[in-house]
Amino acid sequence: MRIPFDIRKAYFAAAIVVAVFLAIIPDTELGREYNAFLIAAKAGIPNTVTAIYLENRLYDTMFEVMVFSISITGALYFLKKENKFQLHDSLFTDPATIIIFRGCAMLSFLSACALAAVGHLSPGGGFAAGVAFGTSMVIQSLISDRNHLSNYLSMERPEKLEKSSWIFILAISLLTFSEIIPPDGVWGNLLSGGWIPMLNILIAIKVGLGTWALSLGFLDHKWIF
Amino acid sequence: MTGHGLLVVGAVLLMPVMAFFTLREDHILHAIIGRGMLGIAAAIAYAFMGAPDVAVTEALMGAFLVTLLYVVVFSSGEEFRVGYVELPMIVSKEAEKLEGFAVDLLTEFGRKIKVKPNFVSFESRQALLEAVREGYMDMAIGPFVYPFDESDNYLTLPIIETRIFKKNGGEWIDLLSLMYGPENRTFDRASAEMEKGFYSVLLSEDAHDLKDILFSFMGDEENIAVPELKKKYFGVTK
Amino acid sequence: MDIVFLARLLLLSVILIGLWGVLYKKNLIMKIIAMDIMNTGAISLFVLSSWQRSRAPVIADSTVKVATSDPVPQAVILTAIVVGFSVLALLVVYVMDLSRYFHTLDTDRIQERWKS
Repeated sequence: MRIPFDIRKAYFAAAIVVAVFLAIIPDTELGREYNAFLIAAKAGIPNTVTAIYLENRLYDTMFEVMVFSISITGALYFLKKENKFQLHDSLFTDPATIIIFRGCAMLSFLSACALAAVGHLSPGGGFAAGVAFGTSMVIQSLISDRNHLSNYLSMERPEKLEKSSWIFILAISLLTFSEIIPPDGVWGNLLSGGWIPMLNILIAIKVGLGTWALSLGFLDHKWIF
Repeated sequence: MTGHGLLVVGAVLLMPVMAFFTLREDHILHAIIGRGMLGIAAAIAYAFMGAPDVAVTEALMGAFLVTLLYVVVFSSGEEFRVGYVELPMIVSKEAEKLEGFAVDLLTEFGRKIKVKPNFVSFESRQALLEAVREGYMDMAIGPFVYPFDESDNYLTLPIIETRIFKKNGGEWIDLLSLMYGPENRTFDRASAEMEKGFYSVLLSEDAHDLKDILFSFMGDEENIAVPELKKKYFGVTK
Repeated sequence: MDIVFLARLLLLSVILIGLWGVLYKKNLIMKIIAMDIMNTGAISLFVLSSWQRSRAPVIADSTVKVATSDPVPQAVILTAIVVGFSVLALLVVYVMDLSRYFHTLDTDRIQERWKS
């Protein structure tokens, strides 16, 4: 079925009409200035964004992590079927490039740990930490010998850890919903805020291992035609 | 507009500009890098709007991970891709094996620099020219001649001399296509004038260093592979 | 002219540019990149709607009431960035398989070869 040329113009014209309608709608001014203060006071941690998506709207976050893991599983299923490259030697042999990449991978890994650990005190959080961890693993895989890397950093144990961290996230979310929370500590302390630091670290592990597995799948696969 | 509002509008103004110039590119790698630039502009805009969490996540994900992943996947690794359109004696497929002057030349070249060539067949010249322009194929061999197939989107490197028959209407055909190709009967040889040209290898834009290495490989005085191959296929010594 | 209105117009134009790319580009990978651009535009609209006082929503002292920007849209869209990337990665894998089967990345030629 050939799509005639007119339908594209009709879609685009309809999109322009909707965009004009969206631009005219005024912004609501319902006095939401002191929202952040109330939320922080209830949850007991300084960073209000983390307090919202890990305690106020935890139901939402639970299922978003599930969507993430399902799409990673689907991508890995198609990537592992066939057409594997033989594991070749490293892509870069220039010594200066190798040193710079190693430095970047180390910096990225350290920032991942920092973002996950103090995600409830300052901007950062579990998702940014997971992405930084995945990126550091991609950079490390680019410069080392792939055969040598898969000996001591193989993907079997991280895969089990990734699937089991989803169960832990579910368990701790259920505990939060039933109001069984560890006592609030001092404001601004590292261990304050109930289950929130633990959930941060679990989400960082989940997202980080997922992006690492996806990147390894991309690197090993034979690309277009 | 006060001071801070101007900063926000300035950062937000960058985003449609980046988006527009990303989508006007032909080469895929340029579009991927444009996507990274859009991610950085978005992260700057989020930071000015007072959302540091979102800015950190967008900078790490949209500008770092996406660009790194797609660029690594798109680049070739240990081989370079060569597309071919069949032309007897330059590149032809006989009983599941590729033979021809250009095939042997590139295999020898690959053995010298330790990168393997990967040959992919195409049906028409037009499809192969588009693939070279967009960056999927690193090189192209077949009925491409030096003065007529030159363009700004790819580089040409002549490998062997030939004769070209050109009509007044702009149509041209090269010698081997005339002798062996399907246009043998339909081309009127009497009304065409003969010119000198070169069969050449087309290289795409991001294979710059390959062009220099290939050129020095062809022009090397101590390299005996090229004259030997020429003698084997065409019987000439130059 | 109001600043928020101007910024909203610019971000809606980012979404419209992305939509134009999806409809009118023939290469499959360019369509995916255009979808990514639309994703970024939609995320930016959420963050724009949370811009109140241009201070980061991090409270330093729990006894003093200060006015910050609204944290609710930021929290909602933070998870959506990561999830959007993973769904687009799945789409890239599908396109890779499709291109290997049809031996091309052009939608016109895929439509021709689909019949045979």
